[in-house]
Amino acid sequence: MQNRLGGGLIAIAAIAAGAVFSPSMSPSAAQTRAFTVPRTADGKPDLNGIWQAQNTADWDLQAHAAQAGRPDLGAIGAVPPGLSVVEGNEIPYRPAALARKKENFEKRMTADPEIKCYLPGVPRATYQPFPFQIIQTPAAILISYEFASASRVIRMAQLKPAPVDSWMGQSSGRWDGDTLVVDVTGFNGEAWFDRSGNFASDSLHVIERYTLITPDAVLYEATIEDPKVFTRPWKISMPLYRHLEKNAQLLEFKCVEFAEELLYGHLRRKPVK
Amino acid sequence: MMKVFHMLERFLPLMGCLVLEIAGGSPAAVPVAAQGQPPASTAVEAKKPWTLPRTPWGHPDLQGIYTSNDNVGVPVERPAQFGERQFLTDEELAARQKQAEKAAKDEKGDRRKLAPDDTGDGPEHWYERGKTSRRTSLVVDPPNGIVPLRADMRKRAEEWESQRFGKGTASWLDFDLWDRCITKGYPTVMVPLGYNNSVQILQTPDYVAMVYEVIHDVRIIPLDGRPHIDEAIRQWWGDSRGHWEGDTLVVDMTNFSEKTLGNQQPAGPYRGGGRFQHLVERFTRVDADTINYRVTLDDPEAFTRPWTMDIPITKDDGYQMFEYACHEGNYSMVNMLEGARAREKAAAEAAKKTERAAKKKKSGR
Repeated sequence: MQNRLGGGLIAIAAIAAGAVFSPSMSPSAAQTRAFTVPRTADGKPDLNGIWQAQNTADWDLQAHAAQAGRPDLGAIGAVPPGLSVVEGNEIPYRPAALARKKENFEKRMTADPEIKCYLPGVPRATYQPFPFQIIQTPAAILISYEFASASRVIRMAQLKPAPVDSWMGQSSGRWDGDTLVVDVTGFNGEAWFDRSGNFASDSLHVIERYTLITPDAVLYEATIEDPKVFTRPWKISMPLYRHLEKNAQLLEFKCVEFAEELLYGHLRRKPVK
Repeated sequence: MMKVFHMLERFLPLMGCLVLEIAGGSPAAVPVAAQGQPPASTAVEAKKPWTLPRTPWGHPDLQGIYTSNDNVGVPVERPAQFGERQFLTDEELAARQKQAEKAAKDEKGDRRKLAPDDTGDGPEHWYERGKTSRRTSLVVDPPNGIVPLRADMRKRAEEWESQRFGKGTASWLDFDLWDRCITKGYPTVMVPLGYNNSVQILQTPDYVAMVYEVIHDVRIIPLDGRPHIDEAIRQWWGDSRGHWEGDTLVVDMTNFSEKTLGNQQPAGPYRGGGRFQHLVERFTRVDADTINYRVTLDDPEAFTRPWTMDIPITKDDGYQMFEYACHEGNYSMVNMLEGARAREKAAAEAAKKTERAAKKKKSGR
C-alpha cells in the first residue's frame, strides 16, 4: 500500500513537472512505471553510473539451453542457459558466413578473442559479464569497461569516417529525444559477438540506443548491419542494470597476464631433460 | 599533433627499450652546455588575461585532450652538471633545441652499439615532440633532482641493468610490462614517451575520468570522499581518490600491486615503488593551454624520503587519440620467444655435432 502510494506520488510529481518519460517506444519500457528522468546540468538524461547486463548473451546471443563446458572445470565451466536477446532469435547469416560461424564455434576455446583478452568490440563489451561505467559530458561520453581496460569515447558529433579501423570502432553520438543514439563504424572485423562464434566483418555498422526506463535501468538496443556477413540488419535488446552498491567502482581486470600461457605457453623454454 | 600512424603500434613492443632511454633520459642525451647565467626569468611572457573556466557545478574545468610532448627531451633525473638548477640557460636551451631539430630530421635510426639481445630502434623522426622545455629534469624535489632511492633498491636496480641483456628469455615473464602490453604503469604514463603521450580528461560532479592513450588505460577518480578500497585489492594502477583543494584537483593513490616494483617506474626498473607506494597528485590548470601536473611519490621500502616530479601537460584539442591495441598485435612476443627457442635448438645441435665429431675422432684412432 505504502509503495503504491509512493509510486503514485512520484508519478503525480513527475506529471506536475512536465517530465514524464513516455513509454511508447518499447514493450519492456511500457511495463515500467512513469518516473522523472534524472538530468545532467545540460538537460540531457543522466546516464552516469556503473551498469551491467544480467543475461547470458556473452555465451550465446541466441536462445540456448545449459550445456557442458570444459569437463575439467566441472559445473563452473558449464554454459548457463539463456533466452534470446536477438529479435526473432534469428541471425540472418549469408551461407558462407554461417559456415564460418560454425567453424568459430568449434575453435572457440582458442580462437575467441575474449579468451585471448583482446578488446571485445561493440556490442559485445556491453554484455560481457563485467560492469562498465558511463561518464557523461555534453561533448563526449566515456564508456569505460572493466574487461581488459577497454573503453571508448563517444564524441557527440557527426564524425568523418574513422582514419583507421579498430577493435572498438569509432563512436559518433547524438540525442534522439531522451535516447542516446550511437553510430559505431570503423571496425577491424576481428571481434566476435559471443563465445558461440557469432561474428561480423570490417563492414560492420552498429547503431546503439540507450534509454533510461527506470532510474536504475537502461534499455539497450543495437541494430547490426554488415552486408558482407548478413542478408539484412538485425537487432538485439536487453536491459542494463545500475550497480546500487554505495561504494561501487570498476576494478582492474587486466587479463593479458591471464591469457599469456594460452597464447605463448608452447614457446616457453622446456625444462632440461 | 599525432604524426605517427597506428602502424607504429605493431612495433611498440620492439621499441620499448629506446623509449625508456628517451623517457629515462640518459644524462648523455642532454647537451653539455656552458653553465653560465641562470635564465633571467622562468616566468612565461605575459599572456592575455585568462579566467579559469568552470563546470556548471563550479569545479575548475580541466576537460580536453592534453599531451606531455612539451617535456620530450627532459630527463626524469637531473644530470649532475646542473646541480640544483631547475631550468636551462638560454644557451643550453638553444643547444637542446638544436638537438631536437636534428633528431626530428633523423632518418637513420638507432646508432647505439647494440647489445646482443637488443633489437634497436627506428629513426628518431618517428617520435612525437612538442616545444622544447627549459627544465633540467622532471624531478624537482629533492633539490638535486635525483630519485632518493634506498641503497638496497639502488643495488637491485644496478644489478638489473647489468643483466638486462643476455639474461635469457625463458618465457614472457622475462619481458617488461610494456613489452607484454599490460601497462605503462602509473605515474610513468605521465612521463613523455616517444609517442601517444596523450590523456583525455572528462568531468562530472562526482568523478574525474582520465583516458590515457598508451595501453588504453582509464582511471575514474571518485570525488565523494569515500575511503580507498580494501587493502586486499592490489592493482597495477592502484586506487585513486580525488578532492578539490581550492582550484587544484588532488588525487591520492594507494593499493598498488607489488608487481609494479621492478617494472615501468619513471626512473627505470627497480627505481620505484611497489606495494607500499603512495602517490599524491596535483592537477592545476594555470592557463588556457596548460595543466601543471605535480606528483609526489613515497614508499618507505624503496625511497629514503618522498620525492616530486613536475610534468606540465599541454592542451591539444586537435589531437586525435588512436586505439592502442598492443596486446592484440603483439607478434613481437611470439617472434622473440620463437627466436630464443630456435637459437637454443641451434646451440644444442651444434653442441651435439661437436660431441659426435669428437667421438668419431676418438674411435677413429
